[in-house]
Amino acid sequence: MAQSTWHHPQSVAQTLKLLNTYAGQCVVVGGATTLALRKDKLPPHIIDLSAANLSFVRVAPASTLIGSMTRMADMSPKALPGVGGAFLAEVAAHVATTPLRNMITLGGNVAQCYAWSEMPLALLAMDATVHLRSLSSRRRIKATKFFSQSSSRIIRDGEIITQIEYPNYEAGQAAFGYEQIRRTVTDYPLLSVAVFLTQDKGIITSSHIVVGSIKTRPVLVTQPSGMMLDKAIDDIDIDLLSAKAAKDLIISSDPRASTGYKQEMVTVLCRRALSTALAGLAK
Amino acid sequence: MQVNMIINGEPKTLEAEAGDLLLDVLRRNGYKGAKKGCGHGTCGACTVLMDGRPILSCMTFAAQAEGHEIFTVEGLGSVNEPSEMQKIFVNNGAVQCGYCTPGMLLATKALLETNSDPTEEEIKRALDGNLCRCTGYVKIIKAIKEVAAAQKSH
Ligand SMILES: Cc1cc2nc3c(=O)[nH]c(=O)nc-3n(C[C@H](O)[C@H](O)[C@H](O)COP(=O)(O)OP(=O)(O)OC[C@H]3O[C@@H](n4cnc5c(N)ncnc54)[C@H](O)[C@@H]3O)c2cc1C
Ligand code: FES
Ligand code: FES
Repeated sequence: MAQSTWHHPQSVAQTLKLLNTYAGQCVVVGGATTLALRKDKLPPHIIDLSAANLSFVRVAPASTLIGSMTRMADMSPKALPGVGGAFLAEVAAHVATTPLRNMITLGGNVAQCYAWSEMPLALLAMDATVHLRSLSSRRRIKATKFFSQSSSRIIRDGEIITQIEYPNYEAGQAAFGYEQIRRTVTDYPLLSVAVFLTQDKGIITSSHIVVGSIKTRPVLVTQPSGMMLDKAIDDIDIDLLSAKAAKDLIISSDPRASTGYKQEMVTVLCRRALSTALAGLAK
Repeated sequence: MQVNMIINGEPKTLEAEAGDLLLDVLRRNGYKGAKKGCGHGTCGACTVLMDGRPILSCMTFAAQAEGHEIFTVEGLGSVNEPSEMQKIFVNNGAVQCGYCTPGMLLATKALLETNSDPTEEEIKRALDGNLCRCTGYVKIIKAIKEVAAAQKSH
C-alpha cells in the first residue's frame, strides 16, 4: 500500500491551499467514520479538518451559521437557537449512538449523503443553505439544489463545505416534527420523515415533508407539501396528506423491509410528524 | 509517522502508519483494554475517551489523535489496584466475560463527569453505543447508579 500523509491545517485558508496543492490526490475528513471503513484505499494526502476552526455556532439577526466540523453531540438545543436549532438538535440526537455522535460531523453527514443520512432531511425541510469555499470561490447553495444530485457532482474539486445556514424562527412562527424507525439503536434508520412548517396568523406559509431511507437521497414530497400552503392550520387534513405522501413515493428495495411495509410506514410516520408540527404551530 | 498524544495523563509519541486505526496502535503499545468487537462502529468494545468524550477507536485513525488527550481503561486502575468504579462493577456482577467492560466503564466515567446524578434513562442513553453480548445490562445499570451515589458521597 502506498504511504499516505496526514495534514492537520489550522485554518480554512491553509486547508484550501492544501486542497489546491494536492488536487486530485487528496481527501478531506471530518469525523472520518466513512474513511475508517475504507482504510486500505487511502489517497496520498488526507486533510483532517478538525483543527481548521470550523466548529462554531454564529447567530446573526436573521439566520444562524453552524460550522461544518460541528459534531452531532454539540448540536444541542442550548447551542442552536430558534425553532430551526431545536429541529437540527432533535434530528442530530437520533443519529447513530453516543460515541458516534461525538465523532460524526455536520459537514461529513451532509457531504456523504447516504440513503439513511439524517441531517440532510432537516436541511431540506427548512431549505437551509450550504456554504462552500475553494481557493478561488465562495458559493451558497440551497439545500433543495444541493441534495438534488450526488454530492460528488455538486462539491467541486478543491472545495469544502464550511458552514450551514438556517433561518431564525421564533416559537409559534415555525414548527417541526421528526419521526423514524430503526431495528436496533445501532442500525441505520429504516425510514425517516421530517416536517417543517411556517405560519402567519394561523395560515400555513411554507410546508415541507421530507422522507429518508427510501432512495439514495432524501425525497422532498412536493405535492402533499404544497397542498398545505395558504390553508388555515385547523383545516389541514393530516390523514389525507399522509396517505397522499406515501402513495406518491417510489420506494427502492431494502433487504431489511419490504417496499409495502415502508409505504405503509410512511403514512404512519408522516401522520405523527405532521401532528407534532401542527401542534407546535398551534401553541 | 509519529503521533503525539497524551495517554492517561502522560505525553506519548507513538509510531503509526497513515492507515492505522487508533485501536490497533493503542493495543500495540500495551493498552489492551480497548477491544476489537465488530470493527465497524456498532458494539463499543473499542471505546476510549478523546478529550473526555467516548469515541470508537476502531473508527478513528491514530493520526486523528494527534495533539489530543486519550484516556483508556488502564487509566482507571489495574487488577491489583482497581478504582472504586471497577470494584463496584465487579461487586454488582456487572462483569461477566468482561469484553464490553472497558467500554462500559469509560462510557460511565464520561457520563458521570458531566452528569453526577443521571436518571436511568440518561444512563441507558449514555450506554447506547456499548453492547454487552452477555446481556448484563440490568446489573451494569445498577452498578452505574451505585458509582454515582458513591462519587456523590465523597
Ligand atoms: C455504525 C454507524 C451507524 C450510523 N448511523 C447513522 C444514523 O443513524 N444516521 C445518520 O445520519 N448517520 C449515521 N451514521 C453516519 C454516516 O453513515 C457517516 O458515517 C457520517 O455521516 C460521516 O460523517 P463524518 O463526519 O465521519 O464524515 P467523514 O467520514 O469524515 O467524511 C465523509 C465524506 O464527506 C467528505 N467531507 C467531510 N467533511 C467535509 C466538508 N466539510 N466539506 C466537503 N466534504 C467533506 C469526506 O471527504 C468524505 O468523502 C452511522 C455511521 C456508523 C459507522
Ligand atoms: S470494535 Fe469498535 S465499535 Fe465494535
Ligand atoms: S460482560 Fe460479556 S460482553 Fe458484557
